[in-house]
Amino acid sequence: MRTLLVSFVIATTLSAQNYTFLVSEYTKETELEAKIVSNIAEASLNKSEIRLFIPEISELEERVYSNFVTLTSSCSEADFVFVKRSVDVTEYCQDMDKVYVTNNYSKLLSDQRYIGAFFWQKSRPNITFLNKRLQKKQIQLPSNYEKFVEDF
Amino acid sequence: MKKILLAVLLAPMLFSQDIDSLLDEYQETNNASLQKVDEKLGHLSIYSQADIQKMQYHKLGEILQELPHINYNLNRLGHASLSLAGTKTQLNGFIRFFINDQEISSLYTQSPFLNWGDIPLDFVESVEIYYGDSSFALGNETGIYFVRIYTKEAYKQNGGELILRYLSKGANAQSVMYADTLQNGWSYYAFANREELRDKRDYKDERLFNNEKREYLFFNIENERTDLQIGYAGVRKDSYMGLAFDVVPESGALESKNLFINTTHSFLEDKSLQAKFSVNQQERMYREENAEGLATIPIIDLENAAATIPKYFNEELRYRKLNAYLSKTFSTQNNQLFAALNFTQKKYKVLYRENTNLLGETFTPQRYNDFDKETVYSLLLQDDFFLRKDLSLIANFKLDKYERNGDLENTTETMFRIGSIYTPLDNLGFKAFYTRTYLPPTFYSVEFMNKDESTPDEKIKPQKYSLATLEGVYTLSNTKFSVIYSNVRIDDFLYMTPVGFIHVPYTVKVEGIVFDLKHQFNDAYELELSYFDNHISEIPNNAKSGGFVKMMGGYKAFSYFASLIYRESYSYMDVEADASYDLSLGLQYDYSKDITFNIKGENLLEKSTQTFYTDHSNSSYAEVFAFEDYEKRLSLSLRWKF
Repeated sequence: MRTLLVSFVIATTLSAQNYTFLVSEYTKETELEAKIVSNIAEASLNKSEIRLFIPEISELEERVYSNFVTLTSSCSEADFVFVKRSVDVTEYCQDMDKVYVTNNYSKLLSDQRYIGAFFWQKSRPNITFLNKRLQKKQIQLPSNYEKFVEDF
Repeated sequence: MKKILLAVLLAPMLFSQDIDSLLDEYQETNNASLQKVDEKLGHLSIYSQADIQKMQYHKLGEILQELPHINYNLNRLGHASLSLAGTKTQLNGFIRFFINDQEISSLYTQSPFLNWGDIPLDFVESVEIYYGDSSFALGNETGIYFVRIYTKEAYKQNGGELILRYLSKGANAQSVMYADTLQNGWSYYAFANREELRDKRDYKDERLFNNEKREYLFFNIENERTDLQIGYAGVRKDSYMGLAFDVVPESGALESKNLFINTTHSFLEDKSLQAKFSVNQQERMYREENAEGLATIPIIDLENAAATIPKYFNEELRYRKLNAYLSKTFSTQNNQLFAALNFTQKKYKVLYRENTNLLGETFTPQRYNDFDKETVYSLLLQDDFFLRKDLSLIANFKLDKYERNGDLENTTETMFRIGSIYTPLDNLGFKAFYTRTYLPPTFYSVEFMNKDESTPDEKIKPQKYSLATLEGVYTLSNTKFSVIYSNVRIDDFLYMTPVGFIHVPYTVKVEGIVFDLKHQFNDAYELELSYFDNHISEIPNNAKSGGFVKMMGGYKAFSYFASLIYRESYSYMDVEADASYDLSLGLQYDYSKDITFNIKGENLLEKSTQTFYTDHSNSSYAEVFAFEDYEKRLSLSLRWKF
């Protein structure tokens, strides 16, 4: 009986998915964001070893992103740049050869350096690439990304 | 065998997730609305965006009805009022509402219900309800129940939404919102709502009207460091029972407009230094006519009743609040120290006041007393220390220095809280707090104080609360079970009598327990059961126990919910109030990703909660009677995202 009880406690403990209290810092949303940005970078550069630069990255983002991708401390060391919505990237990067993606759709439309955006639209997360800019940079996205390409 | 086992264990790590499933999971995570949860604030009930959608909560009141330890009733003016279980509260203040960081209770009564108590949830991302907090981290408004309403974040919307709602009895509501992110990174969110609600009841062959028109506007513009919010709520409604001695006034109207502007800015690289400034203004008009007389306590002198009881009353009041707040968080690996300074100034002005007595004489008293300004300086401290990875200790201290004009003396109040969160196993956790707090007097309670209370100091006694709470949570793979025990002691409890507020001259004691069980059958089906029971040292005049069962599910483009909210029967002064069984059912059809139809029915069994009122038609005694709060309600909604 005791063995059964101990087994039950161990089993339920190991299988716990529900949280009791959110005592530790909540990172799940940032983790998923990091996974998505890494996935976009891999698809854009067609390789798995990415060197990512995020200007004005927060301490939390730095901790979480570094579990999924190699972060660089300067733009020059990176091959992929992810620019948050209000950051002025020209303060950090002059090299137009990098691949730039933003989380601001208006920024994507108005600034030629960006090939795409990962942003929220109608309260849903969304990815968009602009076809002409992909062609200009000679980027061939994998087939599962074709639905994200806008033809202008 | 070992190789196979290893392969099975490593498989999820070897194959990265597909981008579509990542996006789905990202949205689900966002809809779980856990980003802003702060377990240190108290015992938490969270209504996430996913819950709001699945349960078709249209208005805040539908959430508040479910809360344990609380009864959700109507007051004589026909708007919602919350009371601690077992009591019928005439004075609020123990429950505080925040829209984001803006406290929105009435500056006069401390009640948020006239303007904001039943706001539409169309612009709300999530609602967090903390039991046991007393504003140790937010401003200077004390309380024991904190309702934090988070609006949708502009940069996560980027689009428009139109919601049309048609309700029973010809009532209707419309909401429209639009959000966009600009090239420079600033995002804005604009929301407008109007609604027309209709309600009429019969009391002793006479008709009570409770029709109302409401408007809500909300605008927010923000970037990563700065946030500006403007909110407006306007209501025009019938006076329902009003102040009429015989319950049914001949005519009456209540109008209230509330506007707030709130701005927040974060400094330093880690945003640990924060400054906030807000302005809040409310204008309230009340008019009522009743030949049998109106119970306007500050005017009436029972020794000269005919000359002081009004048959007509009309007033227009203005309240203004300024608030400035500066906070700094100091973090190390195991310790977080939070310190803040707060300044609040409240002003109350009578714009117009007139009454006509039973003899037909008209008076224009401007003020009932000379208390019309209150300034509060506060110091807030919170330390959160991780003794071990699974054990944290929390300590709060707050000092409030009150400067009041008129006859009232300046006072200094302190409050403190100690607590701990212990999670010995991943699926077992405990949380305990002991809190000493207080509810300060308001312009309303001072004006409506029993005239026999001897000195002005008697009128400004704060109600003092001691609150001990213990929560245990146990989770299985898809199940979560929690128990919360609470022990509350209230000194100088303020109680409304027919001649005004009195301080109860002994300690009021309340003990309560809440059980809650949630089970997720699969991604679509979920069940929750909750039950609470309170024991109160007073003769109860409201339900002491209750609970709810709710389930939600879905199949393809359809989703549905069912909920039953229960409150026990009770009796007071030989009047019985039946048990309440508020059954709600709802069905949603997603025609496309952007167009959704809803149908919903509330109080389908017509077994609403009841409230006790008094009828003074007969001058020799007061007749107590129970009256149903709500009738059956049906609604049809269309939601279009563009």
